[in-house]
Amino acid sequence: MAIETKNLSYTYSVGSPYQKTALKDVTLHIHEGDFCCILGHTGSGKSTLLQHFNGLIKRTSGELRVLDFDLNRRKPDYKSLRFSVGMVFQYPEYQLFDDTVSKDVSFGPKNMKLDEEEIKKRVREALTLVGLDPDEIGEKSPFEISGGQKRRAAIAGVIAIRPKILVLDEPTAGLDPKGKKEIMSLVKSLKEKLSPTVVMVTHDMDLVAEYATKVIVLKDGEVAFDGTPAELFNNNEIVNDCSLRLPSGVALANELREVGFDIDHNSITIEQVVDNLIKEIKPKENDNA
Amino acid sequence: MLKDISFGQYYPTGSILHRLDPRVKLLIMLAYVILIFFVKSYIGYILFALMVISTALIARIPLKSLFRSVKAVIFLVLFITIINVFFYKGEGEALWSWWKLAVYVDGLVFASKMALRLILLVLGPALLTYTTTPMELTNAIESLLSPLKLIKFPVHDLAVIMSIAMRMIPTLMDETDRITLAQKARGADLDTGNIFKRIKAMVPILVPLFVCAFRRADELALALESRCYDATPNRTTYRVLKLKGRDFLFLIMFLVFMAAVILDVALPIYYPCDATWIEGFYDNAFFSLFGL
Repeated sequence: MAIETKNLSYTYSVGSPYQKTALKDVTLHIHEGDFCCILGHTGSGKSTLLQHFNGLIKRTSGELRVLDFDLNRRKPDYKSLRFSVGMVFQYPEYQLFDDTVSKDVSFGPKNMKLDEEEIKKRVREALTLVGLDPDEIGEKSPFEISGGQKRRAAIAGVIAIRPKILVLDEPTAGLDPKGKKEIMSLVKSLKEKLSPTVVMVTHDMDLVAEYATKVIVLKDGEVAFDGTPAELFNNNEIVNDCSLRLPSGVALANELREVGFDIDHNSITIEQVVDNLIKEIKPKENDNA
Repeated sequence: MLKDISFGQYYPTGSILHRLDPRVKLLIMLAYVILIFFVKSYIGYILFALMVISTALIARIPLKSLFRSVKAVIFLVLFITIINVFFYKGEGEALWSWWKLAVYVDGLVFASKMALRLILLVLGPALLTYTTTPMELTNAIESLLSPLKLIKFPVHDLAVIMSIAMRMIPTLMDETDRITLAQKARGADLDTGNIFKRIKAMVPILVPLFVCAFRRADELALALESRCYDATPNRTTYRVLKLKGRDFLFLIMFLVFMAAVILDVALPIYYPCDATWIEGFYDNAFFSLFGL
């Protein structure tokens, strides 16, 4: 089990006029190897939940277990936890600060107190993984490279600690379709090569349909849905209740069903629906012939 | 972390004080701050304390929240009080002495007055910012400074600069929080080590913060220009400030208070004999309360 919570609740500014409950009795399980997407509107508690996963917010009520870390104990080892759970915030490029990309990427490993050789190795590895040339881009200032490169450099700064769980908060925000695709294929390759468990917050349902193996929908701090993407998008009640948009694949499938095609409910991406449709049509053509 | 700063945070209750003309509030506060430096007797400080407390009650601001604003200067107050208690050279016999330190009655009186003055000096302006939004304050300053337009002083630009600066404070605080979290997630250690280590640990936060501030300033300048900032020489305002009955009421009330304070300050000067008697009486009365 990668992440396990039981009745996790959190309230901000207890006792002040600005008191606000962000999480209410959240119980969920994220297994190792899951690509888990967390959906929900602004203020639904997504960020609060994510920040619990690496101890940036300290658990106050309910149970929380991340990898081998039991956060219910009195003094959990938050520092080691943060080196096991890599957190990529929204617009991560705004966290770059050092005078070269390589130095910036080495910030995490340096905080881990690794030796020089190991730090160098990890910086090269991280930059190569995100598709930046350690010798060329690595020596440049983070402020003279392009926007897309900045985001990659920032992600490299997180994965240089070799996290077992990668947590991403809207990694594709503010990117054009091409940049979006590049970042998502990067996340996918990082999942295969480095961090077997990925937790991602997104508002893009097409990404959910394409990448997620598990979806959790938060609404007003509570878990409104927990299951697979196909289950979610075929559950009209939840979709309407949480006012989620349908992925283009599911929307297409619904339209096709209306005009009489029998599309499998497990087809949720455009590619799957098209394959399904072709299979539907082909036998009929054979019949005609 | 940064959200704990309570000084200057608007506290909306919708009381009559909140609806007062900001210019009136600003002028009263200015007079208050100047006046407090002339006060010498405990009577004067009691008058000021009464004014602050009654104003807070009218504004429906809990006294607890009001006194929280003193927290920001509590160390300064303690420091000054302690220094004055031990180093003030008074007349007569010292109550206690050791090495170069000595406590005199005069020192205690002086230190207590100093502390009272500092606390009242913080409470007054805190009341102003608790009951007045930064926007209203800016409008008040612009309106009060408008005569300077005659000598070509850019009053409106100054007001815009002020309101932008105030608008940016919460934005930059949010940004600081966000960057701090991001660096903490990479294992940044901000809370341990000696002062030099901690200052060095701030670099990964300060650099992105400055970059962000410049970027926002740039974007804001573009937005202002694209909306033709400065194209109309005589801008009007949406909310025109106009004095109402309640404004005059509060002005008169403050004038009465001012008269009482001035009387308290001036009497000892014109009637020195009586004044020493009065002063002595109050001082002794104050200390007899504490059994001194």
